[in-house]
Amino acid sequence: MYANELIKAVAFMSSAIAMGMGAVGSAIGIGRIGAKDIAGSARNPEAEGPLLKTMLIAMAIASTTAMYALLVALLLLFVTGTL
Amino acid sequence: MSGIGEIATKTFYVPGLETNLTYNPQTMAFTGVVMFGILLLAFVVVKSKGKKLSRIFTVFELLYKAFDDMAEEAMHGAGRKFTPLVFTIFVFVLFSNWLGVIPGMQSPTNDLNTCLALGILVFIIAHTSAIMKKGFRKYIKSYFEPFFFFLPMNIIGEVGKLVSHSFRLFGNIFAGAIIFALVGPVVIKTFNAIGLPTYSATPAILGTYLAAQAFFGLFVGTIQALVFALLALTYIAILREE
Repeated sequence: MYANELIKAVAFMSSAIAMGMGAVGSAIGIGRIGAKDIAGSARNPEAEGPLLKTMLIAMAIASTTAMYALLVALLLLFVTGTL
Repeated sequence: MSGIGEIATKTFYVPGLETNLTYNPQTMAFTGVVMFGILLLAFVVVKSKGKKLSRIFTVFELLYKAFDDMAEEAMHGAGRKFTPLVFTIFVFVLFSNWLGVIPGMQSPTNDLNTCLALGILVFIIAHTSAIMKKGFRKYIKSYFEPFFFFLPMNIIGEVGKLVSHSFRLFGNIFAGAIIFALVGPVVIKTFNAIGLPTYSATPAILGTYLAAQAFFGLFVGTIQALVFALLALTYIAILREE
């Protein structure tokens, strides 16, 4: 009788868990990249331009895992018809 | 609120092949728009070449020069012949990503098929150029590096490159499209929750929508186009290494 509601509730919870857990590693990685970039350009100010380009690309690559988590979370929401 | 992120598909029956073919008319139409825009821009840029110091020509020359330098840096000596490919991919992905900013338009890269097609294109070009550069024996031998039993891992790594390359672009643009679609309803619900009427939410919706467009459409779109082109270059360069 409550099977549909149960599926919806589990889908909401699991998509939240997927997004939250999946973002942790990506966030740590992006933070470390930014910290290293600041340290590098503080030590060597004329390298700031080239470093910025590399930093943005590295950040985009590091955020890929969070994107996978987002895709999984959205799929959980849309495929189960909760949203 | 159903249907966010869904892409219209059409299926038709092919009598000769006895199969059903599915195609996405929206994606095809917007890819056509992007191609037409790029053609128009290329026409304008090439037309302006004769006049001395045309502004648009200088901008594109600088862009092309930057990509040429990057290709030269990645592949010592032979990089110049991959510059047109990488720059074409960059311009196509950039215009595709920016098309989603215009209201009523949808990015062709918002469809996984476009991203996967570009990824497969880069995959085939990288492997073919590696075979042509190193010869077939050395190419096969590179799969058994550093030890013999690393073969499955190397194969999975190659397929993983393709998948991550296309899914990175798709995921970013898809997330942006979802956020554009969610901005309006979320702001209206917030205004209703604190007791304000729906019509008073209009300026807030406009502001949030513009901010979201500027960040997720223009900024993320540019970065992802650059990342996609640079990764294509890197994958080709890695496979060509002896």
